[in-house]
Amino acid sequence: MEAAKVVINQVRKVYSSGSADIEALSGIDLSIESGSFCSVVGPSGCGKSTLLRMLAGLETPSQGEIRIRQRDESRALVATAFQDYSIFPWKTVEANVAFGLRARGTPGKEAREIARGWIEKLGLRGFEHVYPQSLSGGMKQRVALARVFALDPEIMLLDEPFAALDAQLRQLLQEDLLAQWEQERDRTAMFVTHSLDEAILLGDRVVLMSARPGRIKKVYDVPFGRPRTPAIRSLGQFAEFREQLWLELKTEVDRQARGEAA
Amino acid sequence: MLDKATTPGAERVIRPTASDIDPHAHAVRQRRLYFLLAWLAPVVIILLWAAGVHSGIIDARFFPSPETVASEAVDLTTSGELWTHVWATTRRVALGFPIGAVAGIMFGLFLGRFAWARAAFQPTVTAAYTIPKLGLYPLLLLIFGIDDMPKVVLVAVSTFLLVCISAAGAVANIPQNLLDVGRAFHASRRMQFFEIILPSALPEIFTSLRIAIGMAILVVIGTEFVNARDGVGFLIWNSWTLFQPEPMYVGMVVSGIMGVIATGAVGLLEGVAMPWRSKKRGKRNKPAQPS
Repeated sequence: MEAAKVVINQVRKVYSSGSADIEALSGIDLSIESGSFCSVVGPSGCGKSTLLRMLAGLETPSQGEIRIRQRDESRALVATAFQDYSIFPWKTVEANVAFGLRARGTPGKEAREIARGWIEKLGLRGFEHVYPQSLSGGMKQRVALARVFALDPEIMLLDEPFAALDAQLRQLLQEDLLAQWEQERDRTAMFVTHSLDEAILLGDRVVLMSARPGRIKKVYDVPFGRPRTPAIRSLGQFAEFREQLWLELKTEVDRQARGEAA
Repeated sequence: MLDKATTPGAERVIRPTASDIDPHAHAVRQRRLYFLLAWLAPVVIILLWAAGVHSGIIDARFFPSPETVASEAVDLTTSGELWTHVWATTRRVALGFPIGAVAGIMFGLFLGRFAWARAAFQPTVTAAYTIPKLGLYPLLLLIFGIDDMPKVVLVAVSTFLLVCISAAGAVANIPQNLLDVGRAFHASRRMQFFEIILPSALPEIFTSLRIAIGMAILVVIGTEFVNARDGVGFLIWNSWTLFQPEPMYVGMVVSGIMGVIATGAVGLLEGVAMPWRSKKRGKRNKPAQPS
């Protein structure tokens, strides 16, 4: 494996709400290897999205530091896909996908061309000039993914991108994402999710976080190599690994639920 | 829509209604009906007015019958006098309103965006908004002379204050997730402003523009009461001082019609400015089907 792409060192995050301080993350140490796909799971409210938002540059740690190594100055360092799609209702599909490129200063025509390529790869052909209002949830999320891929970032941050989709669509988009990942591996990814299935299917490693304040409880190496196909879902080993993760996660989900009730 | 009916044999039958059988024809019928309904209220008011005058309940010296007002309107139109007044008022609104609207949108978004700017200007803007606009008019007459200029300035200022307050409020309602996209993708300030902040504030801005255009006409007519040689306000006030009720009523009706047309024009502009909100779905109209 190559050197670490992202090094998270003793990161702590505290939110102050009025008089009470809420510790969201506590003593996070994690390094993500270049070219690896890192899935992060944990109970709701454990701060996994906060961690991702720090990598995205949307929040800063209260203590500690995060180092991200940039290899190519001409390439975008990070790009984020959000849970609620967050595509602009006033932009057409093409303009939404081109947004990140244009933000980096790519000329409009070139940005639109690249955008059209990704629109096609993600099965949205024919919808280039349509406004998101008339798209289904699955298509909106494809637009959000295309916006990330179009930018060709060194690090792809995915914050529960499939959470709002129904079970079948979710499975379909997981497979699309996996296929895309297997094609171009020149990239690092951090993927926050609630679904153990997709964490295993897509990840090289699964990071399991504890109830609040979020700590890293365990880091698992996924026992499947690359390239891989969605067919691994039906292997016995997949079910065993999933069960192992679930037993560990369950205690944290319990703790979080009790913590919130108290 | 479903038609629910309970038959005597305790059997409930649910059948398609007219709108289910032929949605297109139903929509056309609906549109025609609503168009007719829009005319119903004014027609009824005019009929009641006419009935009141002819039965002697209302004093025809102060409230002339609709027919005499209509024939006066025809006279004023053919002589060209009415057009002079309508043009004068329209010109003043058409100059002052866009200036005030654009400045109000820009300054309002600026206030909404920066807390320090809000702290510095918000109370002043609110105070200025509360000052009766026509109360400022004598001051403007002193500064700008007695021509069109003070009228145009007053319209611009009135529009500016109203639109500014709405635009500043609109920024507060921008969904955080969309602002995050701008930051996460490192969009420049300029791009964040024109491609995220402005479009998400537009719906609220247009609501305020629709209110402001009516107010702009009202303000111009008010200034024309005070000093003017033309304009719809002049027509109303001059007729009143000469005790000629017919042209006065023509002026009142015309100002109402101008309000309807101007508000409609803002509505059209709204459709053009926010194409993503229209029911037509972009250039290609494919049904939304997950693949």
